[in-house]
Amino acid sequence: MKTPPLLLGACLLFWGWQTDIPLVGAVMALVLEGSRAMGWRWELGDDDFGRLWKLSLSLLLGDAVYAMSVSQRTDLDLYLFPWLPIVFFPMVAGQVYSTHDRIPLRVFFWPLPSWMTPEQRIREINVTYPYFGACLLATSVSNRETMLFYAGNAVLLGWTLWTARSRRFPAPAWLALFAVIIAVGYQSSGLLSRMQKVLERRYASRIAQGTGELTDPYESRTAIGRIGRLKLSGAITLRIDPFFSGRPPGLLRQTSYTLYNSGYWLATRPQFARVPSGAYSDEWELLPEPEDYDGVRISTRLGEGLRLLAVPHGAFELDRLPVKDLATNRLGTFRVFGGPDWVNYSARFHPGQTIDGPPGIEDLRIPRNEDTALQRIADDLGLHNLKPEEAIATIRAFFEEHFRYTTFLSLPEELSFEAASPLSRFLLEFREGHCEYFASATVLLLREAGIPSRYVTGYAVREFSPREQRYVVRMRDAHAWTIYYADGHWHELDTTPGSWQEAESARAAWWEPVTDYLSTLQFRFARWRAEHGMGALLSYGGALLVPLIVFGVWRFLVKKRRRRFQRLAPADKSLVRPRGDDSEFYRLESQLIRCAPERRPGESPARWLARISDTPACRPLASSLFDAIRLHYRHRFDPLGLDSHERVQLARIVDGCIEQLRTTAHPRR
Amino acid sequence: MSKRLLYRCYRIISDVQYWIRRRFTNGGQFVFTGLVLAAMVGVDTTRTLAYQVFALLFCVLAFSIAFSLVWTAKFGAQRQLPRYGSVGVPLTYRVRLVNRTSKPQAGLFLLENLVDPRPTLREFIEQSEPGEAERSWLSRWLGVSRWRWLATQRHRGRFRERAVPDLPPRGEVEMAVEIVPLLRGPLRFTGLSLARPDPFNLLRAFSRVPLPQSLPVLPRRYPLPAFTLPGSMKYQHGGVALASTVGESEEFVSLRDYRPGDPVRHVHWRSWARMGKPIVKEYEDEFFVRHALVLDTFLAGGDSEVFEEAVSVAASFACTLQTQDSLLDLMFVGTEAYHFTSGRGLAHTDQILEILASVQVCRERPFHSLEHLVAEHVARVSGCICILLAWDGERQKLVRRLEAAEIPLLVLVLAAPGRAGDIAQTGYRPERFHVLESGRVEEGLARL
Repeated sequence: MKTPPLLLGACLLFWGWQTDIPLVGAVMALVLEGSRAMGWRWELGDDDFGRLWKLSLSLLLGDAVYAMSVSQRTDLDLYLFPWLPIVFFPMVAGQVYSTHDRIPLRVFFWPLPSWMTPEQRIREINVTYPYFGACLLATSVSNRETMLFYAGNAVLLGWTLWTARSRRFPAPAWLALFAVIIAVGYQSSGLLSRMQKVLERRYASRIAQGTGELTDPYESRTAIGRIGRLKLSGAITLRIDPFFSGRPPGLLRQTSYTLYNSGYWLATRPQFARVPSGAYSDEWELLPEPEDYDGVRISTRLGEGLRLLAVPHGAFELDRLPVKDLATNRLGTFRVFGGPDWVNYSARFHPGQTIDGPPGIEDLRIPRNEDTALQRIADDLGLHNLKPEEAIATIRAFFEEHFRYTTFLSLPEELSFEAASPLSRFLLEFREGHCEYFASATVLLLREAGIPSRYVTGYAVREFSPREQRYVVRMRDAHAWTIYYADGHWHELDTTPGSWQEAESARAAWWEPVTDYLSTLQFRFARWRAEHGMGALLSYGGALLVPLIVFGVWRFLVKKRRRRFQRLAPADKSLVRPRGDDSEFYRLESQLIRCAPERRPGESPARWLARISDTPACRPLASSLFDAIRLHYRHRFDPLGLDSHERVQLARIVDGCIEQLRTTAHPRR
Repeated sequence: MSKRLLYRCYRIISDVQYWIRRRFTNGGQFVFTGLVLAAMVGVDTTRTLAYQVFALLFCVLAFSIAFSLVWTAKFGAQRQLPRYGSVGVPLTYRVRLVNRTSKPQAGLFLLENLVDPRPTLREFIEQSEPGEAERSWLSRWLGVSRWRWLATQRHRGRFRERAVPDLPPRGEVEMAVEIVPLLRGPLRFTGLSLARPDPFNLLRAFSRVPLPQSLPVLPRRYPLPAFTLPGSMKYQHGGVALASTVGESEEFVSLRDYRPGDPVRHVHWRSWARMGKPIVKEYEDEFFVRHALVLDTFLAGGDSEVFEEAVSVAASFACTLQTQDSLLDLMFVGTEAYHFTSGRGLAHTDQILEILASVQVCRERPFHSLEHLVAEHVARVSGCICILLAWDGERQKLVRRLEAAEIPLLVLVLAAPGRAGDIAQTGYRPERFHVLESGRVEEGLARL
């Protein structure tokens, strides 16, 4: 079945409009729909269709190269799909301008696959419907989130379904039903969008694990209480170029948490809100610009999944971050939507004002099972009687003097008492551990002293790479520390002993220089692609692609000297038309076969009418039917034919019969 | 064990494919494909708007599925089948449908239900497709192509669904239906189904009418050129039993003088009266030209397509030969040795074709049982057409034996595609020897 007239044209116009190339869409629509007005057709064979298919494949290859050069792994489809209507245009144009209505399936395979049966080899397909689907898909990727997309989509789909609907159901009922479906569909699409947000929140940790991310903005499962050596890879994950002062920020933060419970840190009220972009689409202003500030340029691969940014404490503006959306929450987490896989953004920061929300009751909450140990330490240190700044200094000194950093986690049996949690035992007994112990214990001790505080995760910046001439951050530099609220601002506090960095560096693998070198190459390539991808493609690839396409079209149109067939003019048609084929009786026949046995092969219309005249539907019409067949026979076979009066009489009889048949079939109440 | 598991998997997959093909219209399959694509592209609602396409398609399809589950209309049906069908020849018959509901039924489609064409587990394990040995071990182990081949081989008819004329309440309607038989033998119908599309014409609900019937399908026949069979009348004793009349019906030859011992009923009384001495009528037996059509059914692991072609060639000869004045002995070996004679008021061509429609490959008996069968009847035949599936030592021995009996022969050997040359170059060749290549048999027969 062919697509209904103007459907493809409308779909292409919709695609052009949604993807900001209305002129291209209009021209393509004109070419395809113009075929109905054209009086000629090409006689295309398998070879010709094969050539058109190869042209489409070449365009697809070009599209893929373009998409790969300007996109990243995660958003390849956003660059690949929008051009599908152009890619497959030669095939569709070939079909609509050919003498065939369809394209043989074998054309699409070279060589013919062995599993193809002879029936499949001679099968022919109509490519207009798949093309229609490709256009809709391409339009959906343009991502203009308005009601108009849904409306256009519904109109085009409704148009298609309308032409193929079953005549069993009356048109008004069909339209009403489709209207209901459009409404339910719209509600469902909103529900899908909301559902994704809920699911993301609920299963964020699994998403983060599945995509190799270390950070989950909703929940952090620490290694507190686990035994054995902590292992993180030495792969480089961030590259830091400080500008202005030349010194990097010591810590790059990803997210913070408020509630602690048995080794888990949870984020309360972590809902994200979108940040409006600044004067340029890749510029994001978060806070008013302070008088003095520092800046840093951060290169990283965001990958798939939650896509959280690492930013210095007190970041007030992000720049050169070409993403679709940036969202933040009250816990100082930056999350990006859309955009490239590799980013190289600048962050300006000043460690005063931050985007973190003001402290709440949860920032002072202490878990019940840690309360005993914390009170004991607080009593020992006299935290309850100290001013906040004194309490902070005391806590810092307490960890510096009495604690040791280790990546090997053990729980000494001789000192253990079963009721205590690992964190309490860390504070009271073994007093060694990794950063998560220190950060968690610090947060809880600060809260014990009445200072609102949060647990923060991110990366420590400490390694300068002489090869790259910039700071690099490895996976094993993942770190946890504390922020506390004092003097109307949030401040950072890292109580993990400074020796942790040496301890971590000592764990570097012997092959790390090799992986670093490969990582540097990969980074340079990614940066080159991000900076020059589009330009390089247009300057080199485009220069090659254009003559290729011109050559393909020339080969198709000119070299082969294709035969063009003119459609028969109406005057010529009449020469071959059987006499009387315009008789009104045929209308009656098509109506009769719906309510009476159809005409058998070889049965004359008069015999057939005689046979069916006794059926319930035809009995009341018998005399009119015989009048009609008498006039029809005269119109067909009488050399003198019917005069105008008789012709009108035939039409009247037929109309009367059809009306009566319809009344019988659907009696009005 | 693994074959059993694979067999189960293929059955489940084919069940699903069959369900989709029958339930979904072309539009439905298109919408379903679009739904899957939209789900893949729109899985992240923050990146594209494909999820909106997904939502709309999902609602349309969900409605169609729900609608297709509720249809309880009942129908009656009667099928008027012809006596025979032939492989590859479209067969038109009439179906009378009765609406057993009090509502008019419009926009329905009729589908025929044939017996399940899928192979049994035993067939799947034991039978192999042609050229399977040349496939990779993985392909052989998986057996996908074997499954496909077996299912195709057993697919007995191709049917296109037909639109049913509007059925008035409690009324009936008659319509013509066409089916193309694809295999010889019985074409078994289990019933027919009436399909009702949903308003969007995506899915269909079915009302099934059990109507088991069977139709014999005759083998495919090829036109033969003007052709004279080898051999002629050579006093083969047709005998009275094979004549068209009942009792003694020997041919009258002449009158002669009475000899002692002649039966009294042979006395020609008028001549005795005229001549004055006893004269008797002299008779002799009727003699017929009698041809043997020997069909080789011993297919040793070869291409069953070749065997089908051999049966078609035999059927072509059986229905082309003029048997008013001659007899045709069809000989082949099945579960036992069979010998049928047609012509001269015995079996008609139709019956021979019916027999050929049910011929199967013989796997239980050795080839020499065919040789014995031919040897039994060789004395009575005036010419022989041998249709063979190979040209090996045993078959050459059979042909040599017939040549030694001085019986004019026409030997036709069926070969797999591309193998005709190998057989044609074999050393021994009788005088009238032709190799017919499967797939180009018609061409080969035209050169006879």
